[in-house]
Amino acid sequence: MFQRFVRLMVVLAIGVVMVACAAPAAAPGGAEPAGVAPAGERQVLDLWFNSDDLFNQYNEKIIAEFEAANPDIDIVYSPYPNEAYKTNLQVAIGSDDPPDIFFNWAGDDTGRYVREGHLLDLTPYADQYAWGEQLSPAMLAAFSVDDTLYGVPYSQEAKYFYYHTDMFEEMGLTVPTTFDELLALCTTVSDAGMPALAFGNQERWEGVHYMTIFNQKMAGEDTLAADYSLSNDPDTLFTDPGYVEAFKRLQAMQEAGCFGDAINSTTPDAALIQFVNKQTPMYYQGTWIMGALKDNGLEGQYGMFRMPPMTDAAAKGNQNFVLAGPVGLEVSNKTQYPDAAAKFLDFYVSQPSQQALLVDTNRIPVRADAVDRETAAPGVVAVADDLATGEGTALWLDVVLENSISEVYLNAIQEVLAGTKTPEEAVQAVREQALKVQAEMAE
Amino acid sequence: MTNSVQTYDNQSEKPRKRRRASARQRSEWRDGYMLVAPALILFVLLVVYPMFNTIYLSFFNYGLTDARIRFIGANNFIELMGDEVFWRALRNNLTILIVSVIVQVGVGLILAALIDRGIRWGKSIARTLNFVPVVMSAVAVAILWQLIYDPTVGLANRFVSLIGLDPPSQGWLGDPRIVIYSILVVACWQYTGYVMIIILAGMQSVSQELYEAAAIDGATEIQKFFSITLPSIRNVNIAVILITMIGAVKVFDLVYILTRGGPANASQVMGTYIYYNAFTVNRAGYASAISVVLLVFALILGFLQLRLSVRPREAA
Repeated sequence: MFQRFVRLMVVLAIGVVMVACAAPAAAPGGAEPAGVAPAGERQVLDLWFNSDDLFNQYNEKIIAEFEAANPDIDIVYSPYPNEAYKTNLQVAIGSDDPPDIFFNWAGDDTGRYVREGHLLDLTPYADQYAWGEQLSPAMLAAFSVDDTLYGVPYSQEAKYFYYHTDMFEEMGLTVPTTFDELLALCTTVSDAGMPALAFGNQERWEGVHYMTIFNQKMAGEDTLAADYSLSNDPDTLFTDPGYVEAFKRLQAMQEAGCFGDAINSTTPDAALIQFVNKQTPMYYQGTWIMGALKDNGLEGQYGMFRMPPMTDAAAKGNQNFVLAGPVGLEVSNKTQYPDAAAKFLDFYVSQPSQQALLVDTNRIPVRADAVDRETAAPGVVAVADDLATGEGTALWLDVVLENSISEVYLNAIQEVLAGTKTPEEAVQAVREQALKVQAEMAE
Repeated sequence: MTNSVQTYDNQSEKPRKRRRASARQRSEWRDGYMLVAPALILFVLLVVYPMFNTIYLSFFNYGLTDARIRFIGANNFIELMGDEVFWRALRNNLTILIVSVIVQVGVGLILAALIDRGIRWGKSIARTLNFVPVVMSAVAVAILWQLIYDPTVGLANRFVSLIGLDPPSQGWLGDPRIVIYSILVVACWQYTGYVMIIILAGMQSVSQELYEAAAIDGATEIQKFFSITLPSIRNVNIAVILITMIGAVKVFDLVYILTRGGPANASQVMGTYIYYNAFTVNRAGYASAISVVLLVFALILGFLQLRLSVRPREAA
């Protein structure tokens, strides 16, 4: 009797294990046409975001408004901190259950998912919701590959030097109009006993932003377009002397006292705190920090300026480019509810949502009709005006380059800043990786 | 004692017993196999299958998000041989292994000896204080030490300044030349207490009669330690050395949270380099190849453990 009982229990245990390990049942609603949910079915959409606390509040507000207007759609919101986001998304995208809607950058971060076939073609929805008439065509183009739209931009992010106006006044500083003036300003501040700029390169992306604009200014946009897309000839790929010159500009800033010690072990959060606490008069950072500056009571107390132009003969690029790039939302092609997802995207970039984006978070919207100059923060208006005067955009280096090349660049920047690699060695490492990837892509 | 005699008697009547018990034994075996089946199935699904699958996948080029998978033979292993970062990771693992064994086992042994026979009062407090870091999660420890190493407000810089030295200009975790040692300090701080507790348990099982006899012979405490304590806990010491070595090979959490393997791959270890290749640069095939090397490395250590731990018993 006991043996029978034991055998029964063992069979049951094996059964449970096998059922638990079995593949999930077929997706419900298989008989329904794609994108159309059966009447009365609740449509649940997973939304993943690279977001901070302030932006989470905005997202939760927009999601609540959307769900109230669409009671049959539930949005399950999952925010992630910046550093973990890319890795988490990559793992999820490769799985059978990716998020339905997710934040992404333009450039190769979108391009690789298009190549690998993970993204939903949003072109029909662009026509349905007339996004082309409402959103910036340049930003829609940034999320398009071969005239097919794969993402909807919701904000333009750009990089500026932020400075405390009172500290500039006290120290008798003026906004530099050339790169050499910037170096002189750094030396003046450094001589006064503090670093001129907060700089937290532990996560490596702050350093790559300097290199993005230096590459553009020194090597020139045509060279970058050919090299970054790996369409340049293997003999000339990443051989332009402008790349080495770009690294030398970063070293020049370090030598002029622009940065403090221990930059490779300082986090961006710690750098922001240094700037907010006025331990440095300046911080070169993206427009996404304007919300944090507002939260820290610094609204109206800071100025902004772009990376000043290089005036020497070695600089081959257009000196009136802005360092910027759009961010947007994309949809997985495995989603069960593409129509509902597109409906949410349209709601997310509608005029009221975009206006709230500007007011609540100080982010730059992608709709011109969302910028109310009367109510918007002065910094946001200044950025919007400045972006309009730029003659082109340098897109973030780590976003536009193929992932493994970008990784080599990120590490090389840390090594040059640490003094363990020369600019020539750094560019050589990048070139070697670029040649390897180019050869692999040709296979 | 009675049981062992009975077993011996049973064995002396082998032919008759075997014939009579065979049906029952077969039934018992069947039940035995069925009872271990759930654990065996889980072991095969979660350990054996992934292990062989990793070996198989190490001969392919593929990424987690990329459905295209190409057979490339031993190319991943050939690439490994010329991969500077892989060798750095391996060197870092070996550095952690050697320093951990010397510091954790060395200091753990001294602390255990002090608590066992060196101090009279406060043994419980000393044992608890040394053991506290062990019960903390590696994540909490890493975050705590991130604050201690912080270049602006960290205690490490203040401490170094107090004793008249200059803190490292690139930070404890930002200088490629010292970062692995900064991580080692954290690892030793966390795990020395663990080693101490195991050794202490071994020391406390040594018969007091031996110490009393040595005392009658006029042995000093140092002589007792080297002539009685150390030989008596030889197997315990071997076990903790091997546990420490295996821990050093598998290290991941502390490095990942403290530095992510940076700056510029300077603190990369095998575990973080596998993760980096699989999840950051999307080269799961290459990551599998590194995992295979790590598996071989761990198997060698496991073999070593078996050899060292079995020999004394056979001799006895």
